[in-house]
Amino acid sequence: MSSEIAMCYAWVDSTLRADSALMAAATGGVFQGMADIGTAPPFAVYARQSGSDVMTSAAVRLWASILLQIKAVGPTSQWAAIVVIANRIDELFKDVRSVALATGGVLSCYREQELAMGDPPIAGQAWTNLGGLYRIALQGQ
Amino acid sequence: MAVTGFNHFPRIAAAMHEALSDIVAETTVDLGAAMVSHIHANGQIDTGFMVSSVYTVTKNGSTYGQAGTPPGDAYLLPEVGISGDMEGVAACAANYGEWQNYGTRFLPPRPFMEPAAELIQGEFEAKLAGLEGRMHVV
Repeated sequence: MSSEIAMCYAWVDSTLRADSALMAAATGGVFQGMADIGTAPPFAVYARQSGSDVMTSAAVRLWASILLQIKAVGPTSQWAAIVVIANRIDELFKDVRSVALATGGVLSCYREQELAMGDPPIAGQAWTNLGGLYRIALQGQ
Repeated sequence: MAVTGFNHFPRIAAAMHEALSDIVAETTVDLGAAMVSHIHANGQIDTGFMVSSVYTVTKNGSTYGQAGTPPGDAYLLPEVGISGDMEGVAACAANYGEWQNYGTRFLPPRPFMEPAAELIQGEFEAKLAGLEGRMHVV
């Protein structure tokens, strides 16, 4: 299957949304790529950062190794909630093994790198991101 | 003892260090080139400042400071140095590079750093596998 990214997005999205503590803190919701303009912060965002296919010597694909950024976003004045969201993200994805999906599954998921950076100020208000880059090995079928 | 005449380990160690530092330097330069390629492929060129701000620092020198004129309120971040010949730096000095790479509130990420690193990883490993061939001793 060639849509490992779509499968990965679906798994991450549903995992985030199923976590009540995260959703209680991320009042703006969960978004793929970027939040809708006008979304009230804080919110969670996930997006593909990089990736490559893992193949046999005969070029048969074994799984997709996907690097995904999953982070909390909001103004620094909401730092406490941003930390809660980031902590929940890490709890959900820091050590995952063998999750069956409708077709294929997630072989593993772990954090490869922390992510923390400031956004350009918005209307004079400082914004920030907090989360991580997660390595997800996903088999399409 | 004649045994000392057959002790080539000091020469091997020196040659290994030299070969490894060469691999680090080559990989760093290739990583910088890969970052530039991904910036082009991502269509992230407007003024050209960001792509021109990509630089490398190796034991052979630095390419920092060859960027064009920063647009608007953009600026060049300070140079990142190395502490020895076994280190290399490939970096983007444009202050907004991380926002392009990781995205912002208003901008989805268009990564060029991590994809470049993944691309070059294989090359790095292949060069390490060929380390012996670079060591011209005994």
